Amino acid sequence: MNFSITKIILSAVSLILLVLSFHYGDAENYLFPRIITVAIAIFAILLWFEKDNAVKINIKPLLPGLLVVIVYVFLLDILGFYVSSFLAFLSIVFIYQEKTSGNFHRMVIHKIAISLLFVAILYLLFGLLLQVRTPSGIVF
Amino acid sequence: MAFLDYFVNVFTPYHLALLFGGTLVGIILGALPGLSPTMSVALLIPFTFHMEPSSGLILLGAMYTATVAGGAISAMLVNVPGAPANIATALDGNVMAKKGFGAKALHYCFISSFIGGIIGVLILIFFTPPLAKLSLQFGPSELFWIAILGITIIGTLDSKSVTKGLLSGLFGLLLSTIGDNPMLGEQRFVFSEHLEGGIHIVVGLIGLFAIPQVLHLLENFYNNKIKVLDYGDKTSVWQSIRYNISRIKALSIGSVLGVIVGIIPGAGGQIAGLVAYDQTKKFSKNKENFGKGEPDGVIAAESANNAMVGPSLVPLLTLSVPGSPTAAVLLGGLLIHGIFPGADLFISNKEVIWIFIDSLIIAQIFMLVIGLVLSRHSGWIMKIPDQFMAVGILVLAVFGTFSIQNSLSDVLIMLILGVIMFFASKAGFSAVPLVLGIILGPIAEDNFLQGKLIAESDAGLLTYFTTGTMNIILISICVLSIAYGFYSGIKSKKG
Repeated sequence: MNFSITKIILSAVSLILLVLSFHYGDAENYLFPRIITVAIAIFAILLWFEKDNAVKINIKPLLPGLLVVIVYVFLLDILGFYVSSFLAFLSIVFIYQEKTSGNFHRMVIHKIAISLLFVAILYLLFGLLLQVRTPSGIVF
Repeated sequence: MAFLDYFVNVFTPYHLALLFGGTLVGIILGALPGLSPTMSVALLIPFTFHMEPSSGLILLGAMYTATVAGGAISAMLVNVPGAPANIATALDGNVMAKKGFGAKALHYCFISSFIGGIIGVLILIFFTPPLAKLSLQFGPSELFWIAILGITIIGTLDSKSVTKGLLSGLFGLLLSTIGDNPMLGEQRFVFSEHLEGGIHIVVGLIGLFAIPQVLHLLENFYNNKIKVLDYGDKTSVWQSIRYNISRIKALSIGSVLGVIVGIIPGAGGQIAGLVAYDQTKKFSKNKENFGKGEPDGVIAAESANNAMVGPSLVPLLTLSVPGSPTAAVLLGGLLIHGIFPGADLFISNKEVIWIFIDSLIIAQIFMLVIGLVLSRHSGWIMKIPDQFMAVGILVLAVFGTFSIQNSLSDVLIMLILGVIMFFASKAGFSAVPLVLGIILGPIAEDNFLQGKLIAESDAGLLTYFTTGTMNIILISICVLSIAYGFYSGIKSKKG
């Protein structure tokens, strides 16, 4: 990701923020935000004078993970916390694997077992011991 | 003395169990290269919700102490600091480990951390009540500038670019204004129903610290090849203790600087460790050995980053301004239990606070013992696969966030903040100033508005906020640190 993109995004954002706080809000309510957005705009301009340094993001390994995260949040309400967490854990562990040789079936069972164990520990620790409530969907 | 009165309460079986558990978990989490102490404590806060305030705080305090010390383990054996506070430790610690002196190095870590930590907590005990009384004399303008100072210092010192650091802080301030206006009760920036309650501090903490870490772990999954060094020689602990205590110069410089850095709002373990390391090197007889496995480097850095812990709570408890990023997280913990820092903390919540402070002393002892024992057997900690950690943090983050207000909106906000923060950190922005902005925003705004009211009937806005000894001192420090930040930025580009 090029640094210039950052500068552009930031300038655009600061402009939007200025408009939001000055145009859409009334003076008294938005007083503090207005001061802040002005300061942001000043520094966004200062940013243009900074040297460029390109940054690399490894998008490819990241995408499946991001997808899991998004789906996970969606499922929370539907399937409930523990089931969704189990699925999330399982998916991540399957997607991100070290290359090891060995019995395929054994590996699959191994992963399912760890995922179950993880969720079980969560339940014991938080559900029972600390009595924390979790999003309960249709399932669990 | 007040603090002695409550010592007894620390020694209940439940509290001792919490101290033990918190220290153990804290050292392990600190040792894990993928987790930072700030994040670990943040993740734990929602789970203390159902505990008594004093118990919850004891747990968080023990973890805070332990993670800062535990990070030394991975700093030494893997050359990946478990926490930013251990960056300076790795400079010599890792070399010592490579030379086969890992055991010695780890001993020095925990012993120095213990000594520094005790000194730090003593400062906390003796300085907080008088400072609390002093803070009564602070008016809205002073408090406003203190809040701004906290953000400025961390924005200018912590980030590589002053502009980006301050921008982070400013965005944090802006995020804190979402929701209801504190004085008028009218809504601001509420574009969707999810934002109606504003952004809860702990939601922000977890989102901004934990989620980027998850994504980072996944992103680098295929390139991470960690080599864990051996524990090393069989030095006896007693030998190490004797040697360590004899290094008075390193210990003193470390502890004193740790205390000072701790009290300064915003500046935390990383700065403490590095400054102590630098200064010890400057005053050392064997300067050239620093970087080649000089024990004094380790001793100075570790005593500093633990000496920082106690004092970082001083401005937090008296002024609501965190003395370090992790103290900022602890503020979240306090608020979630309904404990509001400030002058009357020692009146309205005397018992809780003193039990907490006293428990910190005992926490140092637990940290020393458990640390010494655990470091011998810690190799496995660092071999935990990254993907397990990633999804573990994710699930805990979701879990914790939801349990704050039983709201899925919070979870959504948390994730969105986290993803944005991840990309922002790639562009060079740091999460810490942002978090401080979110936390200090309400304080800054409240005091600004109050000051404005007073000023309108008195001397006028500008005069009110810029006159008075304290105001001038605070403003100067802000300006100086911004100037210093720009100056060292320019210097490093030329050099």
